Amino acid sequence: MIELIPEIKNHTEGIIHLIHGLSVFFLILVVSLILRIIILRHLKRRRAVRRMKLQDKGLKLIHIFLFEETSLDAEIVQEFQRKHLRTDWRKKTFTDQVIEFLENFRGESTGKLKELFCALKLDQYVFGILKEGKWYEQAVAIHYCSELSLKADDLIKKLLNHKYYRVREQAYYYFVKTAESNPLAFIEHLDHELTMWEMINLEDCLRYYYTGSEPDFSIGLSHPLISVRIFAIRLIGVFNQFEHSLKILPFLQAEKDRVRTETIKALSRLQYAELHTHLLRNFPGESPRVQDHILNVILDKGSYTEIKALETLIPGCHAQTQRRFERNRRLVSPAHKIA
Amino acid sequence: MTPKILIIEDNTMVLKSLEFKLIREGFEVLTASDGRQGMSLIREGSFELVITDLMLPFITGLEIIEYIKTEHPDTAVIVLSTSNQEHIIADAFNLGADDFITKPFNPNELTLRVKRSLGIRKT
Repeated sequence: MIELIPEIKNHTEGIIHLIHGLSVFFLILVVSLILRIIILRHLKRRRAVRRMKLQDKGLKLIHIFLFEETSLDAEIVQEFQRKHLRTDWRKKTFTDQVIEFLENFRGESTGKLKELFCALKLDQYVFGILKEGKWYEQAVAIHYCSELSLKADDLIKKLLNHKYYRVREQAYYYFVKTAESNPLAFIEHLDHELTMWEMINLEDCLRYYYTGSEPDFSIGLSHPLISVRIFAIRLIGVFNQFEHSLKILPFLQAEKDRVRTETIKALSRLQYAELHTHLLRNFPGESPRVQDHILNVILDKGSYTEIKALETLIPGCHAQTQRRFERNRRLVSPAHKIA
Repeated sequence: MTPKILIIEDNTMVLKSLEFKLIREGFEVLTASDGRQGMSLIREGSFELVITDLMLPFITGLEIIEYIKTEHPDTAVIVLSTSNQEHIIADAFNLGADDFITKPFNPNELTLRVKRSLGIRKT
């Protein structure tokens, strides 16, 4: 037992050395982490100060040009470009500032801001990113082009089928926002399906940005992509293009549920006279999802006779559809429907 | 006497631009970047016109309009807001706002409306 003591002592010393080593290692790690955080914070603060200074200079230039009713002084512009727009970061910061102005001001200010932007040769900076930038920079550059109505159709057409959806969606919005006519001409070049949000935003662009004459949305009905066909059907309904009712009618027999559902919604919006007859005829063979939509349309806009006809078809439906019918039927007064 | 205008707006860019534009038009302009600061300026001094946003930090634009119309009924109020919802506009007018401008706005149009609001007050 006594002979073992020196050996234990040796081991203990080794463990103590190890603990010391680890303590020093973790101390260095913690100190370096804290230093790193402090340096990052300092750099961030310095960058924020630099941004604020640049924004102040930019604000002064924009104010002089927008509000002092003077024409663009080439000397002032060149000086600003030379002194304050030396790096890409500075160019981006000033461009963001111009975009913020565009988002808040309208009228003659918009045209003046674009004039200033191009005089500072920032349009060339944006086109440069579109040609050779990283994908996330390209997405932002397309947004700049949309907001400033910078025409770069050829460059952006190449990005319509980009592998990153952020770039693709900005390219779609660009074509709608900047079009003078035929805003959906770009869809013929699409290889990727449109997402639900892209459809919503494109519709928004058509409503609030596009100022030309209303396009013929039926051009999308023959597109090979299913989402484009659905989008075209939706737009025909939303924009009340009743002249295309007969063109979308065959889509009631489409293979996909989504297409049939959108067609039912569009034809219902267009108040197509024969719709309810078609729906009642197709009802037994429909999927539960489409049956739900038919149920909504008939209960909402159908006559008393049509609701009664639908009632006879309900027993063969999915239990959930039956419950929905029973629940909603109580809300529909037959007397009201007859009237 | 130079008319005194208070602008309450949390977007610094819009605030500074309006200040620049209205000073150039010959008005005396004070600014506040949130509702609380705006309210304290209203309590401290009197203004011919207050231009206010509705969505403000700490105290909303509607509360400011209500206070102005109770305590300083002679002060004209122009609301500058991104909202174009009918009930919000109606609320502002019901509380006594004299005009409502929706963002994005035309700075020249805003100046004309400022002059009109002040002109109405003078007669």
